[in-house]
Amino acid sequence: MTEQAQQARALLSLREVTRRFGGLVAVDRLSFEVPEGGVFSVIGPNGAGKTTAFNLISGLVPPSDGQLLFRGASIVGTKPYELARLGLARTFQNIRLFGAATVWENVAVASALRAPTGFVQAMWRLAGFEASRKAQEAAALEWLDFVGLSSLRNELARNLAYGQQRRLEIARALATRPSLLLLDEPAAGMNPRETEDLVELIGRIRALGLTVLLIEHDMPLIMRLSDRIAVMNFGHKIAEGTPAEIQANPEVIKAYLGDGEEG
Amino acid sequence: MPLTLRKPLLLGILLVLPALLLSLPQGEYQLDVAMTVLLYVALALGLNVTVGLAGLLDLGYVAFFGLGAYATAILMHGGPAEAAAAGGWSYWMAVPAAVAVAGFAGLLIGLPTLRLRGDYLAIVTLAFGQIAKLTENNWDALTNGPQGMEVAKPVLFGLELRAGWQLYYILLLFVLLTWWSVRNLNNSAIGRAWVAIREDEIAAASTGVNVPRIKLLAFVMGASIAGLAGSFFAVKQGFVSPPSFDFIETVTILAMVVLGGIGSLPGVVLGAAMLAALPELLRSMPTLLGLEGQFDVTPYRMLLYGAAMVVVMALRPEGLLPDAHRRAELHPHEDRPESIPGREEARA
Repeated sequence: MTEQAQQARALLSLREVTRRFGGLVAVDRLSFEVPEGGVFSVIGPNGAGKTTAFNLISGLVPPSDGQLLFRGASIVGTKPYELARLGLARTFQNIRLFGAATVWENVAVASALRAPTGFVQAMWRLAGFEASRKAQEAAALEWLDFVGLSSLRNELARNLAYGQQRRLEIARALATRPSLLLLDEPAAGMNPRETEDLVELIGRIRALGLTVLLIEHDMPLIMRLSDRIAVMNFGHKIAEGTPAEIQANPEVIKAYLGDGEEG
Repeated sequence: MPLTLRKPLLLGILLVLPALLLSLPQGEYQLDVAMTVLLYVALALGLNVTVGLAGLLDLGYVAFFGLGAYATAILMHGGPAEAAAAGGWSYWMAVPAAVAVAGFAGLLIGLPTLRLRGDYLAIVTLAFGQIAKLTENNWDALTNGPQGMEVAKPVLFGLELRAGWQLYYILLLFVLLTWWSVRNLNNSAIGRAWVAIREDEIAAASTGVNVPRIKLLAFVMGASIAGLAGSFFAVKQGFVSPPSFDFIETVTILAMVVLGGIGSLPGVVLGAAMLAALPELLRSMPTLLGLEGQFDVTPYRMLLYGAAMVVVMALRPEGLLPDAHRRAELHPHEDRPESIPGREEARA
């Protein structure tokens, strides 16, 4: 396949993206293409710039330099809520739920994006209000079912167990109906059982036809799930390839796996 | 308190209390107190949208109340006593205009300032409140300065509504409309977006909430309600002048919101009713207790008022009738917010 054709198919493209914080270059001329469908992972040691890369893609931090393209159109300067509308959703490394709201309300905030309620319509219960309300609630319950939390829908988000909070955050992201889902270390702090459930959940998300962009530390998880992996170190991309290629890459072994032990 | 107990309680406050007041010998004094209470209920409902629901600390709130009052006075061609009421607008046209003026002012102030967070927004709105009052005091040509303006009474089908009870029912209508509108918003996607912003602005934005727009809606909504209250205040008093729109009024209304239960509609209604009625109740307490003439409570009125506020805040920091979400913040292990409305369908 020519490079041109590959770019045309790319859902998300980073071209020479740089982000400086004062004297620190957190992300340095980072380029990669996320094709439509499948799981694309970004790995790297702590401080490699993965989360900054995510914040750049999701519009929370503007790039100092370079281009970000979503479906071929520039998204530099696009606000986070506009990105959500375009079909880009994310979760956070440090879970960010609406803690004092219930589980279903958390997801309903997201489902309102695709079934919006007008202000005056909501204030005076005008025509169409009931339809949008029902659509929001039905979608919220549907996604809660999808992640297996519907029995906890009236619980406060902050009272959920850690693994459940992660799933709720994923449900909330899914309810915005994204085409690209960014998961920032979804397995962090999970026990093996919860991690196993997460692998199964990401498999089902992928089966829906969504593209998943994943940051993760859990190497076995990455190797099982990913179609393609980019490796970062000190803000640079040092390698990109299939899981097998990455595992055999001496550069990666040196930078990331250190002693070369597989794992 | 479970939801089942809340609704009758709210109905009680809104319907039984005024009915009781009206069944009393219909002295103008009782009616005046009842109207003051209802006016504060409306103002507190409006400030609750901005501060309680969306979490935006607006310290210039009373300026919108003043704008509504002055807009009404000016449109009805109020002015110095001799010039008043010659060919002005009818009250019924001045009301929506006053609401629009206050709402538009909210939009103008909100657009540049709502990017600011927390303390900074409070400072800017505080300054706006002072500017509004100074303008009212000094723009003689428009507002007649410190002398204030006389305002005509509303006229309905050729009948001038002068009696206290007539004005009372107009106000009750306004308050019910306000309460219904705010309640509807609160129980909708807009209300959920407000909670989301209050809880975590970044997560809300990433979830597709248009944060600046939703904040602005809360700000404009609060300002419009204050404008409506101001419009009524102008005709009820028959007179508007700058001292009515002092900063201390914003503080009083904020105290009502916090004391009643920030974010909670029944709480805010109760808080406003309590704080507005308490000074008057304290004034008439010796009479009510049959101790008239034996002691004079008037000098200690505000002391008792302050003490009552301290006691409530110490015993119920979340307010008298707290919002479920707020209660969860202060008492994380107690009962849960109301459940999803459509749960029966969902379960089926």
